[in-house]
Amino acid sequence: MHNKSVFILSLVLILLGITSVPAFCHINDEVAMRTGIFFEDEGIALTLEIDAGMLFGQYYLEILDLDRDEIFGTEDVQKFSEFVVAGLRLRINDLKVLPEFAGASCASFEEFVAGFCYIKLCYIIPYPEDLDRVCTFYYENCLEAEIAIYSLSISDTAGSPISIIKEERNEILQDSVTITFSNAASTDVQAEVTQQPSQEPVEVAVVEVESKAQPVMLPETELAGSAMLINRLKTGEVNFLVLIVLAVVIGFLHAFTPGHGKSLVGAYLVANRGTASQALGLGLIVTLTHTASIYVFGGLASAAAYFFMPSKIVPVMTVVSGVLVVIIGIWSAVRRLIGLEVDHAHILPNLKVLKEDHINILVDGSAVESSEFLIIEAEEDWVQKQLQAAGAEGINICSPGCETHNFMPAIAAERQNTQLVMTAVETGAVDAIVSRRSGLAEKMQNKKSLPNVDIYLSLDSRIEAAELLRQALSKYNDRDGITIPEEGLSWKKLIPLGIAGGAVPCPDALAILLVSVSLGRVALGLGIVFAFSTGLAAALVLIGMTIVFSNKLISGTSGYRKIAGFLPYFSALFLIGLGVYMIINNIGF
Amino acid sequence: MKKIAVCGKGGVGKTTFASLLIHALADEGRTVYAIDADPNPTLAEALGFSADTISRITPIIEMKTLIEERTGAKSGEYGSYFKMNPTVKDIPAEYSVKKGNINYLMMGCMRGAGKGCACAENAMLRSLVTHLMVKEKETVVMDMVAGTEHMGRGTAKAVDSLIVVVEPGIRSIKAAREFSKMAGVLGIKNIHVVGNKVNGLDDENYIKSNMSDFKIAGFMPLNSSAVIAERQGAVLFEISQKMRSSVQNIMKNIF
Repeated sequence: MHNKSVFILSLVLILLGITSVPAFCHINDEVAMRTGIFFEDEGIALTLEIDAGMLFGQYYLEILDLDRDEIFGTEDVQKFSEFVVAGLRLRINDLKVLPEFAGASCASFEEFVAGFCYIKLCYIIPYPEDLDRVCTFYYENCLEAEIAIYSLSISDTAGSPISIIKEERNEILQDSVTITFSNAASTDVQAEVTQQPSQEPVEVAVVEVESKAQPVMLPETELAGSAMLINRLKTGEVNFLVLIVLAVVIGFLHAFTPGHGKSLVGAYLVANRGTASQALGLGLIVTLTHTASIYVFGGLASAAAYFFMPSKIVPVMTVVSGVLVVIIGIWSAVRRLIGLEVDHAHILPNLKVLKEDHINILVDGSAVESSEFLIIEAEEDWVQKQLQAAGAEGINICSPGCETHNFMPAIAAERQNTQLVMTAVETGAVDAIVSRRSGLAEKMQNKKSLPNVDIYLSLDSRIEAAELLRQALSKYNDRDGITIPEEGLSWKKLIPLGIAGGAVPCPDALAILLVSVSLGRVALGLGIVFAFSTGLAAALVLIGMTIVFSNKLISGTSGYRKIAGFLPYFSALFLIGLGVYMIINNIGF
Repeated sequence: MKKIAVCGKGGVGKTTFASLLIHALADEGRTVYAIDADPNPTLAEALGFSADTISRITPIIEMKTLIEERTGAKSGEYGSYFKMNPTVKDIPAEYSVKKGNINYLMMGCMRGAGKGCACAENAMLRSLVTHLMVKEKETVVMDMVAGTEHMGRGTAKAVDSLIVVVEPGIRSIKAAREFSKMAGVLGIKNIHVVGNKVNGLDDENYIKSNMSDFKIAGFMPLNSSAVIAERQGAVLFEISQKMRSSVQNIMKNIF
């Protein structure tokens, strides 16, 4: 049992731990930069393909369209090229070199607005005059070092006398490389190579590259998940089934990136001892809200694209969602502190213990002693005869337990207990209450909608227990309108929380939709977003289920019981923290 | 049909005496329910159940499925409703292990805050004790520590005799006074004292003089056969004539 718990807990931690891995499919707040270095006859050809996520596309758009004429002219592109070159470090034989601009291609202004931000720049770097000897070419990309994903592709050209002898690249970041090359016709080359001292830094991998080697590239699928979908839409490579399957898979992976209500679902289920159906329900609500918000937001964004950049609306939406989440967190904490929200009971009061065809007597934790007299008296023959006469099946003594296991302020505990009793009375099936809480009667009277039920402060003998039973039996046939919920699943609580979690804008899904709209493939875009959200739902439900089942396994341990009382407060604090983070992170857009 | 509760300070030989009493009652032809309500249950060994049988016994409080089924609550859940009067009348017969006409039932340790705690497991145990003491038609002997956590006033009134075991020493006598006070609050009228590990008249007189206000039911001799029985896994009632006659004399004084 213990080992099993540890195993499942580890699984939960691993699942949650995956959130720190950005994954290549989360391209919208990143920039993909592919560098190509090719040794041609006339010089080193340098190509730089920049594929900006939607949030950075806005930034590049402002540089690219300086004159605000909504057209990327030659002058615009050259200015952008200067901006890019300023972020590169290029040296041949330790001497700084400047690349010559050789051309560019990029997406249109409208595509940039829609979130598809692609630009390719080409440069030529002439060889040094003394090419007969072994030379070194150093390349380093410092552009957007914080958020960029780099890839390098290097090759020499077949048939050319220029050949690469070796390259030393930063294998992890792929942002720098030192290439040793020479004119293969020179006879001094080999001797000179062998005389070079080895100065390989520990963290730098050295790859000997044979002449005419295939370019070293990251696989296309790793470069971008949602970006790949966009590319397929853009290029017209539309195999509907492939796209849908891809969307589901990417949506699944995408759920593990930060946000997406995953932590929200987890924290809520842990704090409330959620059930499997709740995990399923909450995951589905988050997903439906997510899909709907993208549809609605996508429609609005497309219509308003010429007035507001989508990349500006996303952070606004995040801040709005953040405020919503903070409000829910504060409200949840306040409700718990003032006792309006009952620990677990709001969601799992287990009211099915009450039986419509029984005399139901509530005994709260403060009057546990009284139950014993009731239990003894309920077995007596006279009670059995009166039960039969009244048409009732038996005496059902129920309790919500005591509060000794919950480490909460006494006032909060008392208020929560009162709420729990009232929740049961609301069913109309309660015939009598035994409670030492003096304020209970007054509170119940104040709530006019509650049925009138006799409250006994305590039972000190079998005679008093018999009197209670007699009264309850006499009123059994007068009660009406009984509604005992089969399951305590509170959709009233689940739906707002699921909506808050799902309403957090997901730029990737939105980008897919916006590009579809801009390309006139709206129906396909809507379908892909739905498939994407289905993948996301699967991930959320998986996380939720894992938490629910691991929670069940560890719930019996004494350590868990001690912290269980505090979990709802942590949950509320977590919501507030998450909301504040969302606001702070986006307030400066 | 007798309802007897045995208590005493740890180490006075409470469980040994309870096992002798249970055998003596069974020897009279009664069906006896031997209820082990000690948090450190060893009554089964004292009664002579085999190690194999004992290893297969699950205390009632750990029967999670049974508790969930009968109380309607999930084990370990707080803040949700459960039934406080679960059906328990079949449990003594169904869940006890049998040896002749002795039926042994291991209750397990009450959870949480003890007396005032009303969680489902404790409700189950209390209902069972109430049923055994108030409604059960056979003889019941319960081996317990202080006699208060498993039963409230309603159940305690049904106890025919609370036997407090003491040894010739002031500590166990002091503890016996405390048990007696608690039993008085619960409403147990018949409290008897049994002096155990008594070695001669001096020991008997020591107990008599220090507990003159108690009903002393008798004395059990300090006897090496108790140690031998424990080591050999034998039944003390069967191997020691002296112990057998002592407990039979005590029974006569109590009933």
